Amino acid sequence: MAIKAINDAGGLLGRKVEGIFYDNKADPNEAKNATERLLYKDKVDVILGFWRSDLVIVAQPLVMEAKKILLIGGASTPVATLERIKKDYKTNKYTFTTTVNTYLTMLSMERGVIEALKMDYKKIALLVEKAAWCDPLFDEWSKKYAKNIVYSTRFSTTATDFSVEFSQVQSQRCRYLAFITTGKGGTPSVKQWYDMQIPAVYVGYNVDSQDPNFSQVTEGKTQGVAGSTVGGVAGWPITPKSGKFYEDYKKVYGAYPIAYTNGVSYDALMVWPMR
Amino acid sequence: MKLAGTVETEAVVKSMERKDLNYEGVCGVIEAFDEIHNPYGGGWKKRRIMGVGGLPMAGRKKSPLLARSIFIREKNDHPGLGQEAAEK
Repeated sequence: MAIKAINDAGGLLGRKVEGIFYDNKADPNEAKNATERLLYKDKVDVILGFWRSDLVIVAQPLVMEAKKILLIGGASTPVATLERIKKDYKTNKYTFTTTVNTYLTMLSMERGVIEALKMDYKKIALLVEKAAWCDPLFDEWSKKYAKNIVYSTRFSTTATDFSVEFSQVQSQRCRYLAFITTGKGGTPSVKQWYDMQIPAVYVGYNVDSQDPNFSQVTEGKTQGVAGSTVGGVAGWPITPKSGKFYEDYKKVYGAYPIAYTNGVSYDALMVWPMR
Repeated sequence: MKLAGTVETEAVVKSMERKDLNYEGVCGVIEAFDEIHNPYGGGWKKRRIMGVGGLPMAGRKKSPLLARSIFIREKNDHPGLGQEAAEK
């Protein structure tokens, strides 16, 4: 949609934009190979994308070495979006991002913790996926809320069974479950939390829950789940452009987009005609 | 992304770093990429942040906790967002 819009408006500096797409399969080796193909076989000018932080950490040095623009549209690890650029600006100055980094996502999620503590939800369980973007959050919260966190663990991004973890949440009498995942456990964790009748509110970050059909996907088991999001949820007008985009997207693809396919990626491309 | 012609990357960086860039997108407003190129988290000029989280979606009722939590709307001057929207 973005490429078509740019080209329909005359392209960039009068030149047509061509998109070349590869699926990195959420695998660091695939990401490395795809990045090298883009850089040296396809000879692209700009690389956009990367929704997973562990992949952009691998790919960023390759793009920087080739002195091409990297416009990150989802991965939020401060390593790529902040720390490397600050540490070595000359090498990494070609990196830009249109998404938040973990520090800000963490702030939004922390609102839930603060509210919960005010409401006397004193015992917190912290279940966080083993992914680069979560590292600052896990480390900081573990220290900051050490008094309240009575159970914490990191789980694989491919995990889909949380019965052991949820049993711990229950046995530790946690009332607040901070569950943070961008991986495959999003939908299963909500269903399992509901089916096990875990007596803790489920709050955090769950990419699956950004699907406008999440209630239907989980058979309504989302009741009581609250989460933060990046890029907004279809139907909520963050800017005057949001609503039109959601409807246009639905016309083209037959369904509303999840957060990462909406503004985060779309904006990363559409910002180009602005420069 | 490939352009029909060679892009001078250094010029692009310089252009992206200009201070008067103002892009209103689908998920927020970028008021210039800052010196570390992270418009929202690392020093986005006014932190006029993106919208909401934790909102009830279709077919889902609102819980008391949901209604009270997880809103990041500081300095968000777009109407219809945040707590008020959640309570409609």
